Amino acid sequence: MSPRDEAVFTAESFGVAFRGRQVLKSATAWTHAGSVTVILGRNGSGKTTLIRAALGLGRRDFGIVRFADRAWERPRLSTLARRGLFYLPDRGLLSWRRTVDWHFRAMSSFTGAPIDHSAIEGLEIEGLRGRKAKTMSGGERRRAELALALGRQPVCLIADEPLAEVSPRDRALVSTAIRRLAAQGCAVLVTGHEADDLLKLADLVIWMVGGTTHWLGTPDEARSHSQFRLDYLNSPNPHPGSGGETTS
Amino acid sequence: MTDSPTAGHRTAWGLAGEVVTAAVRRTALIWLLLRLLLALVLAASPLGRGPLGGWKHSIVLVLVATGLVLYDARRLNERVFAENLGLSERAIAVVSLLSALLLEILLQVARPFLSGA
Repeated sequence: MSPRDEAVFTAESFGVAFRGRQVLKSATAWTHAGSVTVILGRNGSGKTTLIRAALGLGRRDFGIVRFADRAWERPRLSTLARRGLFYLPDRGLLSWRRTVDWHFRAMSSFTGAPIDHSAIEGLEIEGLRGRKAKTMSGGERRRAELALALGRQPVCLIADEPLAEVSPRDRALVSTAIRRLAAQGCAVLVTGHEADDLLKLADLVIWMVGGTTHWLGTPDEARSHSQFRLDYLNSPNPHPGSGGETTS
Repeated sequence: MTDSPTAGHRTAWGLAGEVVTAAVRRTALIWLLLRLLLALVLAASPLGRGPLGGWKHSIVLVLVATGLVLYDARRLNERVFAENLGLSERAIAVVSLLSALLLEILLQVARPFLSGA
């Protein structure tokens, strides 16, 4: 059985070139219902490029998305979102001129579905609801953005660097909320550089290097992968040769 | 809490308007300069006196304004938020076009008063 079998969301064999430079060669990422897949890779390895290409927000030379029992040759975020996907971008989701409450009202009104307040408990956003995004710190904005994602009750959440520029306390809140969302059956795909936190959060780890992806397996298997430890974690393997095999 | 399905009274057009308004706020100055430049170029060139003269001149300006707003909207938080709710790019494009058209009509209507003053 392939590790991709029964995945809720798969971005398959994506290739992207910018001005003759091949940023993605054949990158594939996926996530299952009720689990968190983490994509790790050095800066510039193509994590955000893969996600943006898979959601129709960036350039895509080839690659298809499988989601909601369909293959999408020309995926668009709005189309995937109507089928239950939610995308948390690395650079921000909230309108700077609007309050958090405005976003919740807009979401509820537009989708016709009430907000699931139980899902956003624990993110400590009660004090933020009346505030505009431009008056918040990075960590507060991230919590509010994640609360929107959770309130939407998505089938699949794709979060690009949700722990970036977030304090340890807020990081713990965000990680717990993501874990709880997965426990409710959501398929979660996350990227980032906070290796310790993300490996604790992950069920599966994908390593992106040289424009392609390698499936490393569980966090423990990833930690024991000698090449990954050396090239990404910068932690030389005390037992050379004990690393597992990579699977493209 | 006011999060009932009808509490916000936000429609698809309202959300698209939010995206376009944010883009227009950011591009207004660039658009004014571009409009001035384009108007000067069209007035001085054979194209502006011939095939793109008169009302066709206005259509060119409306299309350029729409393109500018749509290009800027690609990077906006508001657009990602709207698309996350399922709002299509087509709705954003239609609202951009209507906004540019409305602005151009207003400018044409106001022109005699502005030049008179």
